[in-house]
Amino acid sequence: MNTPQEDLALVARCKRELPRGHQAFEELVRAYQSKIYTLCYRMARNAADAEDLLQEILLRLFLSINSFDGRSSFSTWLYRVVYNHCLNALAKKRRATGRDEELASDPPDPRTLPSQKDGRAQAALDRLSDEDRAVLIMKYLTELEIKEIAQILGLSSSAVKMRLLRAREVFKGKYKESL
Amino acid sequence: MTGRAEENAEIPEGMEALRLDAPSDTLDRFRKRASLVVGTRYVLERQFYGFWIVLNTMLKLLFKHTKVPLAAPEEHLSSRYRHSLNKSKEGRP
Repeated sequence: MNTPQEDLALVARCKRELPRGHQAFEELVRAYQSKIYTLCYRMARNAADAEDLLQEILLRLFLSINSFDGRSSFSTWLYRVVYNHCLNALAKKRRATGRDEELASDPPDPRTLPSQKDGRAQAALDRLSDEDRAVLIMKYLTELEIKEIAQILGLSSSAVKMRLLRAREVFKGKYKESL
Repeated sequence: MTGRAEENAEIPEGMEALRLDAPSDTLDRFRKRASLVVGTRYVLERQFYGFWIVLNTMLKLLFKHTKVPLAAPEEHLSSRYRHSLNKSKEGRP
């Protein structure tokens, strides 16, 4: 994982190189792709949608990286883009399918469900609302600080802590039920 | 449990299994997509530039051939007066 200074240096290089050179941008992609994919997959609950979301987000970053002005850390800005894009895509899909349950009932992808443990944890995660799920994923899978999560979600730190506490308790309960 | 304890709370059991690696072809797919987008933008910009040059030339030609004369010639005068004007021009040495 890059430090904030390394990220800023890479972003500065991107601004100089793009659109002709992609080298610095690809370094950024390599550093963040797995975490972005994890967030997309756990939000979309479907490998094909998650891959599409990942590509759309990378393209969006590629076209708008010049608008990053350094007021927040790069990772905060990036995850805000990812989170908003995922929420919009989920809302669009729900409007298209008309039913929330359809999202959860997509057949699991064997590439991303290597164990029963994973399936149980995903099932427990699916019981949470989009916002609570996002808080848990950001805290424990993308390893963001509470302060950063608060900036991404536009909430106060104490609201994020409360939401995290509630989401964790629900997750623990559902996970234990499935054992 | 709130405050600092919440920040340092351990990852719940089972959650660590949810970490995933991005597909191995992510960068290749992105390169193809990015080059397509950059290429399309370039072509559209060039096309717009070409279109602007053609439009500009056409407008210039159009206005060149339909220029409204600033000095009022004889057509603005009545036919009777024009006739007498021509007569007087012919009579000039």
